[in-house]
Amino acid sequence: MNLSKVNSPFRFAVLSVVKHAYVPMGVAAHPRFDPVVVADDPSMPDWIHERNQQFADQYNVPYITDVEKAIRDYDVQVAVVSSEAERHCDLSNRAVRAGLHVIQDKPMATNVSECDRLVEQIQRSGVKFVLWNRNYLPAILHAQETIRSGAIGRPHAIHLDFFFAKDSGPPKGSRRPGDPPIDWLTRQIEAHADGSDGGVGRDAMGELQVEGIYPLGYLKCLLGSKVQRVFARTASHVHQVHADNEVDDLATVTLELEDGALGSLCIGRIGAASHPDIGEIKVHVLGDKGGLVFTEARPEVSVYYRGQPATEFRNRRVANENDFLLVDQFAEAIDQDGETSLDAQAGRDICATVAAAIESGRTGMPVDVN
Amino acid sequence: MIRLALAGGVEQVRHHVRELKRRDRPAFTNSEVTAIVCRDAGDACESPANATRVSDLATLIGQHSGDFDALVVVQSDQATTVETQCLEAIGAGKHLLLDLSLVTSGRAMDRLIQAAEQQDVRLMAGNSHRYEPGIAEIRGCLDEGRLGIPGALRIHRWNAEGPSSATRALVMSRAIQELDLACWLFGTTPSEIFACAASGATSAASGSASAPTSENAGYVQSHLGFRDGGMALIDYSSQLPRGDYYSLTLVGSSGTAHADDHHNMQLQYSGDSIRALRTEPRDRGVGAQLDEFLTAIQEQRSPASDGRSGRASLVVASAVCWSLESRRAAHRRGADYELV
Repeated sequence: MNLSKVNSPFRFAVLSVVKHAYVPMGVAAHPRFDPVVVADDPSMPDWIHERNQQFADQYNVPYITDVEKAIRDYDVQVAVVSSEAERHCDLSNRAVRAGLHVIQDKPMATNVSECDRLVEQIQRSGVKFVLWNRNYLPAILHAQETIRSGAIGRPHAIHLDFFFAKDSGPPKGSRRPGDPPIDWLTRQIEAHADGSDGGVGRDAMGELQVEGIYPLGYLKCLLGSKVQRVFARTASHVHQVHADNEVDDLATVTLELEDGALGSLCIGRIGAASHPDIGEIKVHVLGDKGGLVFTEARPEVSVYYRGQPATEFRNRRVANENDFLLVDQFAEAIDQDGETSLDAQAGRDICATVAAAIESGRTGMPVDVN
Repeated sequence: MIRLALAGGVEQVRHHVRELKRRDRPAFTNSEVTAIVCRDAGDACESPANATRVSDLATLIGQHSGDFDALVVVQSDQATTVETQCLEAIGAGKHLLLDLSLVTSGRAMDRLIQAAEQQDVRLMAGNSHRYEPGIAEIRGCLDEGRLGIPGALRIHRWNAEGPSSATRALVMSRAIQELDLACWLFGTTPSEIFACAASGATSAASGSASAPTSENAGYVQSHLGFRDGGMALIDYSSQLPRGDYYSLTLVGSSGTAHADDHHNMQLQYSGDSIRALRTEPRDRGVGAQLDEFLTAIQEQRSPASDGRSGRASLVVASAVCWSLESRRAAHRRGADYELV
């Protein structure tokens, strides 16, 4: 990989940071990117303003309740968007229209038509866009390298397991007669405390929508194939909030790929009790000369000690440079007018795959990806 | 004393003979191997010296019917006649353990079921995977309620089986064991099925999503949907260059279980390569399956994996074949499946 040359830093605006802040923090940690302002629309509810202000204070930058003004006044070149998913494309679109390059949190959007508008805008403007991803995790890079070396020949099947062992409120079946359904947004706001609020927003989202981008990003990275048709099963199986809001916390998807290869995705929020660590996240690839089985979390070290909090993960990932490498590659793409690791079109395709899977889960029929 | 006839390949028969010598299973002390059906029915099978030795089932049933009480058929190189011969064995009053991979359809199993009921003999649909220690452990946890309601099952089974077989044969003779596991763990048959196949050799040339043909083989992917939201994804490959791999994950509403080769590998450093070694050998389930068969005979009850459960899995396997051949989903209608 090529580390980008150290040129003048990119000044970036954080356009809303209401959930886990690892995206803008990851960008800020790179020496070529300077956070200079946090901004959001004035009509946002107080809890959003509070979180934005908190992040601004942490980085000692102003918080402006006027996105366009912040972009104008602070001479920024890049926008980092980390709002609720339903506002991702709107904020990104506004940044792109202002001529900014964009790093956007996942998922791309809650519907494909918003993605299409953003893709079109980006193509017109020529700015760079990257959808936050984990394609630079050491295990994924290693798998990519192994596949490209030809060690397993030409891949014809890929399987992505993305079971993550986190809770999302009380278990399914725990709602007593007469109790109201759990409100999605209220639950997501509560989840901010442990960072599991990736689905924050008014619109409920299942795990296919919230987390599907990561394993489908691996598919893009490892095989480069587009998904043509899917067959899926989805269920609210583990958590009451998912059942109450009729979104999936467990899903399996068969993927028919454009070059005749096949794939599958198993994804779910399976509950903290269901794994000693973050979950079972694996990649299996079959080629005409062999197969690969990779655990995404490795390398890791295991740490156990007396008095260790039950909520602390025993296994700790090491040698993880995903954030730095992703952002560095983005800088390089800007410098050299190159492609980013997961551009808007790829993000749009992932959104379309997820939408098709949700439709297939509803109908019990295979669905072509739009 | 139950007199057993064993039919299969040399290694399989030898494995069964060795298992039956174990003294930790009471059912084995009340049985003895009295007949062997094997192409090499000589000393390689390690059969008792006074056991009848023949090279085919027809000879055993036709000429040595009085030498055994129960028949275990785990492999046959006479696929077109094994069902008929097993019917004859049942007709002669013999209990039967017949590997699921040797039955060609649900209707064939129906005939065996009917014959066994008429003769009041035990009929077991063999799938030793159910009895492998890791799988049995997971089933036990499920039965005890530790995992809650099963939600998602993921199975990878990769082998190096030599020349590719036709896709339908791959499903009915190999992948069926995993399909049977899925039905067993969910306690029912799926309501929706979608399957697809690929071949590493041909997918590059086809340029489009693989439409399976009789030559297009080596890899099958089955996706099952169960009422109440359960789901299973099973991929089966016969195309590894060597060795084999197995992984099973079962996600329940309150817990998850994994039986995973990746987790259970040891390392060997020798020569210029690092090798991954699996401590648990395959076919550890053979002894437990035999135990269940013999105990069912002694207790005059249906074995745990009886003809009816085998029939259900065969119907599912047939529907998997229809789905992958047509590239359409199959939905259950009553006891059968329709393409939709």
